[in-house]
Amino acid sequence: MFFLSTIRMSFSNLRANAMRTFLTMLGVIIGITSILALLTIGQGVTDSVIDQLSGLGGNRVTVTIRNTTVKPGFTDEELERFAHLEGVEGVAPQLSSYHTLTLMPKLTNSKYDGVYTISRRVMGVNDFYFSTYTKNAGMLYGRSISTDDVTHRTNVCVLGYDLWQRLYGNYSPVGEIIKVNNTDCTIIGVMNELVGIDVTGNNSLIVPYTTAVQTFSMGLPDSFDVVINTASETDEVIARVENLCATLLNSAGNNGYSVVNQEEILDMVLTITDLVLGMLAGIAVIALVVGGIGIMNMMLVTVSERTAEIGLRKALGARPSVIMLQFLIEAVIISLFGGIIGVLLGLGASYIASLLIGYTFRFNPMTAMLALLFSLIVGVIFGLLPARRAAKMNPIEALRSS
Amino acid sequence: MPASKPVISLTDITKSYQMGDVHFPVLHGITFTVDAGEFVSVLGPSGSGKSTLMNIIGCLDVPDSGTYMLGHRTVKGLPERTMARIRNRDIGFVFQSFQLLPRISAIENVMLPLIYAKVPRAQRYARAMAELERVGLADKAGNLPRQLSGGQQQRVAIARALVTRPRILLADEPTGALDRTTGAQIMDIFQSLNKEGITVVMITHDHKVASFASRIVYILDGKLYSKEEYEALELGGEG
Repeated sequence: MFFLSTIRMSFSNLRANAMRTFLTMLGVIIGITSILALLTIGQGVTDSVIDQLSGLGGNRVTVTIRNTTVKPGFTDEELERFAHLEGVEGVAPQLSSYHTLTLMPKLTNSKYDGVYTISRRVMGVNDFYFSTYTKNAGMLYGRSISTDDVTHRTNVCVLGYDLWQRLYGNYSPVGEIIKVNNTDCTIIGVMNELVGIDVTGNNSLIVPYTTAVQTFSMGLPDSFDVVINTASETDEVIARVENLCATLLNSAGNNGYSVVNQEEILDMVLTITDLVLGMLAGIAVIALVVGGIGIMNMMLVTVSERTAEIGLRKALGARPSVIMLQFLIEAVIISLFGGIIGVLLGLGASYIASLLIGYTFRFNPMTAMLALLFSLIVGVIFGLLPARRAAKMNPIEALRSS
Repeated sequence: MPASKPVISLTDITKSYQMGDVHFPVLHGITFTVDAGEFVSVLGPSGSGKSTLMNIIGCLDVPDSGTYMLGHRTVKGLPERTMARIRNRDIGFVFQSFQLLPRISAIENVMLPLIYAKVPRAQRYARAMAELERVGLADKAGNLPRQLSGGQQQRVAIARALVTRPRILLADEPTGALDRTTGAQIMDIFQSLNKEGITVVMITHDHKVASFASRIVYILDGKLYSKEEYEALELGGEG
């Protein structure tokens, strides 16, 4: 009850100097907005990266031949051996190089009347690529590359979303022919737009990797991903993968190949992200501290302006602790309101950022609570000195000043 | 000789102020008592030490030496929160410049001491209203101080001084900022409050105002004098 009267009193005092109060609050607003936006954006990006990778159905390990003069790449049979290791969900080789694509004039749905030639990335993948990496996006038209396509090295292709839009606009090209170098490829499907960290597929023509090796002479894959079954112990599977590498590459020695756990890479990326965000958040905290100093400055001015009032309140029986509480509440109201506005602005900013960068916006109540707690603490810390000064004021001196 | 029921009892009070290296003695051994139900004026020119005396009586300041008894309590070495409590419960202050908070209404000003006395809100309102009625300002309860005349503001201040039902009303030049007619009205209020049993101590430099009291204490250069001595000294000083 007493507390309520004090809060009411504080509000009326702050309203009486609305402009000054707002400008002081601005410091806290800027600080909290930046902290919250950075934390939310950072969390959103991190979550998105983790989602993408965990969406692949388990942990990934990338196997790469270091010295391709010793062994240029892995054959189908070798890849099969990796795929059949215990705890391995599948292997995903990826070949990629630029080739000339030619659209024929007879194609009714093409945007172009004459022979149209364009240079684009051709990616050689297996069916596993579609069942894991692009699973979330799915197919817009037709079907994806099947095991049969890979086994029989069929001349089929799937268009990435951007490439499809570029070449066909809004029409389904399924069943039409596109020339890769000089080979006719039948279009069997169009992928939906990929979002997230690996979006190279969007602007690519995707073919069975066996076709890429044989027909388009893209060479054997010297690198491929092994997707580990979620139920398996990652370290044990990695050991098996490394053993097989050693067997296949014994002539290349220990340094002839590398097996990199994607989780480690992810950890590294996240560590760097955290570091950068941490540094930015540090700067934001400095901004908040500057905001706090603004509060202290304003409160000191307020206390000296209201010397007579403090004296009177003391004469009427206000204990020093009550005077202290009153000024502390005023400081906290400034910082807490600044915090609330900052949280709202920060959430708004990170929502807009989520639309621009393309990660999923998530509201984390903990972050918001933390930001509010932070602003509260700033108010208390920087309100303390002026409040103490007011509490210690001599009532006679204070009354005399009027 | 000693009073039957002294509310205020000062014995050999001294007070001085230190301003850098300079030592200003203000009160040199003041001794006097105020009985319960008395209306006493402390009359003296500016610089006589009467405001310092009022601060000591009002528990806003403490003497360097001597004994101050408020009721049967010795005011010495008390912590600030106890002094605040005494000011809140036992003493009602009326100042020359009214000292109303400008942004809150008359009744809110009157309720202020009750907030510090931790009186529940509902009671605060009723008690403040009763005091405003007593000074004839119930209809102005919602007005801001600047919407009131000087006399009305001083009446609000009196209501505020009385709202915690103190034993003593301590007034410092209560008519100093008012014209004679309004000042006389304030004195009427003081006299009727005194009749109701409230002890009134009023500090003033004005003989006419002082004469409203039932007894006058004369102070000059930090010492108390009899009427005759005071008048002689005052004339001598001016001559």
